[in-house]
Amino acid sequence: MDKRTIFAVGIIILIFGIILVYEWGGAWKGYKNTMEQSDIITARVLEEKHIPIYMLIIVTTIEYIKNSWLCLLLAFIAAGALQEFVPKDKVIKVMGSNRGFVPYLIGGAGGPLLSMCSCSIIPIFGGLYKRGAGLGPSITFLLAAPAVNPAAVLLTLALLGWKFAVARIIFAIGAGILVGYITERVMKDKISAPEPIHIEAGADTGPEQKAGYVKRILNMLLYSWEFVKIVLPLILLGVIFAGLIKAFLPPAFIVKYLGVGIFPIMLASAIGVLMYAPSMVEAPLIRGLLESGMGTGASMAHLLTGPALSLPSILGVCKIVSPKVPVVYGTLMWICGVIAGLTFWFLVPAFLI
Amino acid sequence: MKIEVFGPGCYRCQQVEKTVRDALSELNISADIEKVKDMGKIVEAGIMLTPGLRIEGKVVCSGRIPKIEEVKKWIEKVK
Repeated sequence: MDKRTIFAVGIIILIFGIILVYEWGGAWKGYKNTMEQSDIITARVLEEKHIPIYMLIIVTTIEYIKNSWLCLLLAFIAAGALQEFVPKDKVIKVMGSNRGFVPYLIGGAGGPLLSMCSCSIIPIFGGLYKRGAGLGPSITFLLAAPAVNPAAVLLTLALLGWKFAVARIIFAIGAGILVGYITERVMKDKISAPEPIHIEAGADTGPEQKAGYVKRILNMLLYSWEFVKIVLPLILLGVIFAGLIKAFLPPAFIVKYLGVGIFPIMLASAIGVLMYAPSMVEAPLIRGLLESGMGTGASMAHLLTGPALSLPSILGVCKIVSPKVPVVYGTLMWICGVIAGLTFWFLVPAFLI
Repeated sequence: MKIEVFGPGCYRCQQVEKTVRDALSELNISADIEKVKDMGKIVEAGIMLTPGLRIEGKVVCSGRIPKIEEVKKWIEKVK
């Protein structure tokens, strides 16, 4: 552990400490109040039918931004800190160099350290696999990382509440490890081991090593700004979709197909496996659906399978491993989504903010 | 000169391509810029963190957007 790593860990702990203190401390009350007030405003708007549809979308947008701006701000700073201070090449080395159960744990929990953008997961998956990290841990990483990255978790916390956020982390890491392990067991004898590839040593993967702390914090903020530019449009897209759902999809329709029960959970899990949605869109989208009558179980199933899997990601993975592998882990992940949905539905039967 | 930008086509990859183009025009050098979006090829090149940049077959940086001065230095080195 050199000085630089210790400093990095310190900064990251500090940021998450601020978030925790804010959420569970005195500020929580005021935060809650604004939430309730904005809910009342939406309810009133919904009652008055003569209000045009675009107003509903605008009100939804304002309400969601009001609820999540602070968490978002901290999420962006945290993302910048991870990008600037975490030596990614070292994390990858640790992930690929252990045997037994440890790589699974690192694959599940190490995801948040490495990636913010869901499109960058597949090359890391491919690299881990071809470097000999093992099929199982690579799949664990592929499935868990998009769902537990700090920005997605904080957005879930802001828009869906702590129950969803905590359950999402536990289910995503648990399902990732389980699916990775079973897939490796099932596929071990059916596919050939990857040809080891030469990885260019000495390629510059990190920021300049000798920069001073002030410069590094400036760098961190620059990275944060970069994330704002990438992620904010995605979130707005999700919020607008949520508004559209509230405006056009009749609640009866949502209750029927995505409401309470086992069938909606199975359906939501399947949609999550196949549909592509950038990893920041799903939190506002799910909130919109919840407000229109989606069941909590179905929401959790979708939150778990949605970011982890999609047809484009499955096609990308097919170029690295045999197409049988995505079929196996896709099916397993769907089952995990159903189980997680049922568990969460049992624990949290109704969505209350 | 052959310059390859590796990445699935997200915002960060486009930034890298733009930086490379700016660096080339500032140095007044022409080069073939290839955008590699195929996941299999990205992995074969040994790039794990996108966006990646390869100049004349050597991976010079990955996982971040390089600054224009750095890109200029790398280009001048292989010129």
